[in-house]
Amino acid sequence: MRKLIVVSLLLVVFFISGNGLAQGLEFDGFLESYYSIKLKDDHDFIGERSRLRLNLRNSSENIYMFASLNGVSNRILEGDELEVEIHEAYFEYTQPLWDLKVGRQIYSWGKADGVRITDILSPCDYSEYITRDFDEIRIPVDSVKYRYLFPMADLELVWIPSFTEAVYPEDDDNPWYVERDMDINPTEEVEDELGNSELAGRLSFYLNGVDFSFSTAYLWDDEPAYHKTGVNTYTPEYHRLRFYGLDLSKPVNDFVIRFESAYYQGKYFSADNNCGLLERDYLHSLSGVDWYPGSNWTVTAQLASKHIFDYEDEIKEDQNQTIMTLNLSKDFFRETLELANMIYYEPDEQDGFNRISLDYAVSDNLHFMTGIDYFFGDEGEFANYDDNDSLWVKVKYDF
Amino acid sequence: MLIIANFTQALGLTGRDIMLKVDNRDDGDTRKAKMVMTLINKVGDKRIREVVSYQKDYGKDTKSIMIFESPGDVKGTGYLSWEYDEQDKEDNRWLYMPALRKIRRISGSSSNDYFMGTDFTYDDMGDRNVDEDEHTLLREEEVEGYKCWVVESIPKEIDEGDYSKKISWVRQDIAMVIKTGYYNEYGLLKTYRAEDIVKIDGIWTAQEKVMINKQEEHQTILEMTEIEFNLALDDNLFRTSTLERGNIRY
Repeated sequence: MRKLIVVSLLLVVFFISGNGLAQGLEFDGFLESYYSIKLKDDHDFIGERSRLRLNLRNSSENIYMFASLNGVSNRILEGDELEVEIHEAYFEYTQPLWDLKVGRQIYSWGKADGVRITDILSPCDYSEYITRDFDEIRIPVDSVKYRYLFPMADLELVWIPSFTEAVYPEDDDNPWYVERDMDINPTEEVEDELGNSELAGRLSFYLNGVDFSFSTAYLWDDEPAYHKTGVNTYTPEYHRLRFYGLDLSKPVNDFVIRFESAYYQGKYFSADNNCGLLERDYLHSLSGVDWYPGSNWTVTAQLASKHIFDYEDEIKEDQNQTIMTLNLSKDFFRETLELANMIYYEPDEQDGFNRISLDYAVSDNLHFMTGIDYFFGDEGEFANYDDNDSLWVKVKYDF
Repeated sequence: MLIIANFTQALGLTGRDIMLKVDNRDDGDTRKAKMVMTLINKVGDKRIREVVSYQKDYGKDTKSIMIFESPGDVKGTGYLSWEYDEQDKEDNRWLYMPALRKIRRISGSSSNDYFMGTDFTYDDMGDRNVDEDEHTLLREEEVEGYKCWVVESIPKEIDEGDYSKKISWVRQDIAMVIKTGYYNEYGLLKTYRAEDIVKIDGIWTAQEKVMINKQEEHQTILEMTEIEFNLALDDNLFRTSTLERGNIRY
């Protein structure tokens, strides 16, 4: 009920301001349905959801207002319940040398694709692991972003007054739930108070022949740490995290070289000790290359690594971890048809995730998509979902 | 015709001279337009893209920004380019993908790929240095009542995907290319026509541009509206930060 009131108020604000702002109210959006069936075992539906997105925009010379509303029906996770929510809603005020954006918004930092190195301001919804679109996975956060445009650089300062947690599968009704062999208490929440704000800053340079940026943040780790509070009982609790990062992107002929790295302080790693945790710093880095050989081919390859400092054997994660990604795509028939193959691979565990997909533009407004998600390996994160290999279809209508 | 030919000979104009006239033609120091791109395949199916575009010249170099307003699947996609006349200097290009909320640096060298599925390549959309080609004045001809020079242009260095040659009809009175034939190894690849040529803000401009791909039986019609020249455009408009803003504002 409260959500419905908020959504209604938002619509009223937009309609009233629609008369006051020069551009007037504009709206657009999409309607999509997604179905996925398991390729193994019982061939049950593993994904069955529909989403209506309505975007509202209103603007004048210096003011831009945007709100996006979601109406979601997810039969696998929520039954027949229809959920209506505000996805993003912000007000942007612009001057030639600076802008201010206030409200619920998504952040996407860094130069990496599908691997979060410095890109951790917006938490993620892993209810269906990483099989959803970026737009669905990213959780917008209520925040204030100020950006100042220097002659050669953009300075971005972000204040997130209250913490937003990442979302994980909660029980085994969700086919993406991974059983933990432990008793888990309710999570210790982060109190909504000023002292628990998150702060971040980024200085970005977009120059002739190279882009690079430096970033830092003082925030909460989206992933709770599991404190051992009993024989086999754990209490999840959130902890502060700090990072210092840099990224770089440089075109060289048909290639674009990308690099990103972040030094994290204060991460709690699961460990075989009395409290179940050890706090350590770690370095997370990525190197990537995009190749545009022509004829509408795009090839993207990345190598990411994680190194834990002052390592001890009781830490459950390996000191050094590596993940590789490869993405091949080609457009046909004047970009009406796209074939893509995306692979994540962990060489240490020899497990991975492969998505082969096809996206056909039936018309400018109607897309038909289909693909296969394939998990492989006996150990490692991706191996947890080995039973969830699936064939999926999606239809999306833009209006 | 003999008189015209002799007059051109008397002027000593070469193919390069004519293409330099085209390159140096006054097209405004800044340009703004709304473009409707209609893509038509061989069975007559149409796809339409609406784009708002701003350009600013910095001597012989040009910065431009384009934001797609429709259809829904590309709405908000932004393309920023800094193009350099100097042959050895790579252009800078960025693409903003609204679904990913990311600005992506793209290679400046893949200029032979078609722009957003149209029949115009990135190279066609931009400005090519005159001395990248060898130009030869073939003849003079009258097209739709206008005296034209017919110039053949052959790239001095041919990379894979490049045209093997172009033949351009240049209107003598306004030094504008009104027709071009693009050739590849298989013969005539596509033709370009500039139509509805009018004077706006003292500058001759084609309000409609048609590119017909003969080999693929596909065509693109580019209609320009709300054209303005020499309006005050802030340098900050041509930064990546503009791509992330809700609306282009200047």
